[in-house]
Amino acid sequence: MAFFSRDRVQLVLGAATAAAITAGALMVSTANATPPGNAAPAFTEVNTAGKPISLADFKGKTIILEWTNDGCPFVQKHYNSKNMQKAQGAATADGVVWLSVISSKPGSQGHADGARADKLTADRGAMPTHVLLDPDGSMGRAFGAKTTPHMYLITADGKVAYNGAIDSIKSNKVEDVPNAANYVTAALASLKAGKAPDPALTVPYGCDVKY
Amino acid sequence: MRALLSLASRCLAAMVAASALAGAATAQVSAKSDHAEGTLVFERSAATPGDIFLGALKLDLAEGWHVYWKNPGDSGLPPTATWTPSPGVTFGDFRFPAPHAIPLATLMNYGYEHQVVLPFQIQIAAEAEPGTDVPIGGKIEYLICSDICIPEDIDLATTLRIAAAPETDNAGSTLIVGTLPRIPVALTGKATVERTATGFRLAVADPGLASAIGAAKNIRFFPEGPELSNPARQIVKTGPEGVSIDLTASDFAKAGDQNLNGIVVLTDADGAAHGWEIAATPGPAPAGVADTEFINADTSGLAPPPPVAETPPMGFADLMLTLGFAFVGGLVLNLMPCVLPVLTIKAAGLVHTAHDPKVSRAHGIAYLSGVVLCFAAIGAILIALRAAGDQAGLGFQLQYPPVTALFALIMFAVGLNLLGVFEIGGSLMGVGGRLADKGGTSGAFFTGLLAAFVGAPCVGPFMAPAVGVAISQPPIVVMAVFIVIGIGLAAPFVLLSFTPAFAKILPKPGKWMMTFRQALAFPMFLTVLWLLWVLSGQTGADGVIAVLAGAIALAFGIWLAERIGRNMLGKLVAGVVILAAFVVPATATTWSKAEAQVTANAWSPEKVAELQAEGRVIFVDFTARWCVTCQFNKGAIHDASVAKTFSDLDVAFLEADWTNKDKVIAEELAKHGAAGVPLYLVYPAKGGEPKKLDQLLTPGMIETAVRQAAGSL
Repeated sequence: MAFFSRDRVQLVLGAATAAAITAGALMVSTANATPPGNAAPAFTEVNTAGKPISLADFKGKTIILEWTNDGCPFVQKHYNSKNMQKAQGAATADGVVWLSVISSKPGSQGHADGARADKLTADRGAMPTHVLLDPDGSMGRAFGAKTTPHMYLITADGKVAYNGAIDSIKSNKVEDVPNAANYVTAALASLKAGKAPDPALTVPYGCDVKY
Repeated sequence: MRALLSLASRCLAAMVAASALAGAATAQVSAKSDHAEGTLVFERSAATPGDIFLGALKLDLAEGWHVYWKNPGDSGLPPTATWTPSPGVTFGDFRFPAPHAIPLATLMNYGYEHQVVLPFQIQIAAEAEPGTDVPIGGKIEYLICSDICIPEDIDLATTLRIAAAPETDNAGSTLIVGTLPRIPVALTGKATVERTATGFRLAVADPGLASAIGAAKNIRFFPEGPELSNPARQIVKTGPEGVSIDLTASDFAKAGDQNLNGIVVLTDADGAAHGWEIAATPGPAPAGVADTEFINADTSGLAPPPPVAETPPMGFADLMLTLGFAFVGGLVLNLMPCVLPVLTIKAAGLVHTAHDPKVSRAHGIAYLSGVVLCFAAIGAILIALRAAGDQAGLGFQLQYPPVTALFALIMFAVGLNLLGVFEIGGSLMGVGGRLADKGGTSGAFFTGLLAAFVGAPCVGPFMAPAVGVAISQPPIVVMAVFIVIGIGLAAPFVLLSFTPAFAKILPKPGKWMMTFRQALAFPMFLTVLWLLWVLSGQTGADGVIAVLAGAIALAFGIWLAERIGRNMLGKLVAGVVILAAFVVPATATTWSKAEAQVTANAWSPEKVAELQAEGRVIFVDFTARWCVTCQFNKGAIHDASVAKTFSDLDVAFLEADWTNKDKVIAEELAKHGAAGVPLYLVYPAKGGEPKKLDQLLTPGMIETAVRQAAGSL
């Protein structure tokens, strides 16, 4: 009976989908471990010039990671207000390595090859040390990056010092920028003063990373 | 009966409300953004000074887009309203209904797809002037996402009339009341949380929640804060007292014991979600919440319920195959215990006519028409019921106790007739059994009807697959399947009727036929027994006793008819007795079925004070038997959803019966400015003065009032 076999196919497909989703969920729940104090996961991703960039390249330097997606309204908030560029400029002038990471998978919002990423940097007047291309999302998943923006601060000895939102007001509105406390610049200042950042862990806000 | 009463009361309420509203404009207002349309609706079309009522923001979302719950999960933002200040109007926060879990790649969001209704409270200042209009509006902002996110906003502005008496906005209140069951309710029981190696074990013991577990297909905890890994699978166990859920901690969980806030949501097969607010404190889990593992219907707990897919229409080959099965099914139905007795009548008829081929053929055709007509009617009713959203299956006709009762009596009468207790003269009431027994063509037709009617419930188990497939098909296919089942059922007898050779096998009519006919009475009585068994499951002993009493009355009526049925008066008396024998049990079984959904305790001022001291919400019904409005309102009060709300919120239901003179009740009525009954009062859980409800109740009005009184709104 044809209609029975159709039902069976649907059942099998349904079970397979459920199993796949469950497996995915389990993967996530175990790959969610970059709390402050832990060692940052090692990574090697190419920059816009195609050169592999690794965590090990920056031994002895403070690193900031910024997950980004130029199509996301929350990212646009911080670039249109020049908030992000200012923070990048101040940090890099101070000898901090700023890595902007694009984890959008090919075909999804914010995905960029080297040329497009360079053009974005130029158009926006951004000042990262490198833009890393992570189209397979491996680096994003290793860090547990959830949103764009999602910010991490890594100490000179390779430990996570801050993980979370860029600032204290969860919105996509430019007018909220001046009223918000910028957690990233505050964390950098704390590190410089030899203190542990407080807060060191906040809930990031923004669009989901397009894995 | 009760359903009818409830329907009548609702119609009446709607009519009264509609006439009161004639010319009153609704304050409802809509605006569109690129991916959503927002509408502000209100419970009232006119509010009174000091009034507290509900408004709601309805967001209709473009297909594939979602907005967020108050905790959006791994990304996103909840909708917000920035109300334009309006003197004398105070706006409450949005009440968020239970959300869906919306997985995005490896992340998890909490939100709403298709549509969300966010109720909020509106308070009108006591100084507001009746006759004026107050502006209500503001900017609604929401982040709306598919695989990308777009912040959108709309401006909504309207005015609401202030009047001396409140007026209900029917469309608005219907929408708001409809969404209230989705709003999480306060937990009456206990919630604890313990640390585990990977996170937390949340344990919730609550009578309301425990009673909903049976119907739940999915159980999930939605945290208010960031301390959980949102996409991680939740391991759910249940017990007679509640649920326990193993949760995976995120980086945000502090070390050691901590509180855990959020909602536990139970989703039933229809996708209806009920939430309980959880504020779990550290401590050992209560007993009876982790006896058995609960398997979420959507295994991962990740995916939202998929939209119901339309069954693709059948191909021609599939259709033919299904019809083939339907025919065979109908054929086999002849051997089923529920049809066999009816067929014995037909068999008797066949013996009569077998030696006259012409009559035999005519009877065969008539029988076929009867069977097919009955199956077609059952098919049509089934299609109509399903179109109305009822989950009707085959045999639904016997789900109504009065039908079962009537049927049992008809079968009993047929049995008596076969035994020869009475012969059909043409003066008795025309009932199916009599007609079925009648030798003529119409008799054959009614035998067919009867066979199909009793046969249909047997179709279910035997042909469930074919019927199950057919039922989801377009109506024309459903009809075809049913008609073919009918043809299958009728086929053997039609065939015999058309086979002259068959007559040769049968002995010539003679005295043996009388014996044969009498013997057939006993399968009839067995059918009565079966129907009584069905009835006992529906109505308990009361229904069975009613039918047995009816059977005695029927036998008495028949005896009377034989004795005194020669003149007009005799016929009348016997007719009345026989009619009563059918009508009374049928009505009685309706009564015994409709037991009260909520039970009331007797009202007294002391009882009210006592219950108020316990902090319970109290609903008082001032009623009297002679008060027609009160009886209409009983329909609303005894509505199943009201009963559920009462039990969920532990509402005390008191009844003050003013049928007889009662000074205390009269004083209480006067105290609340009521000239008489009905009067409905709802006392808030926090104590204080009761709220007076309208004199014409709807279930929604009662639910809104008690939810407000419970503080869960």
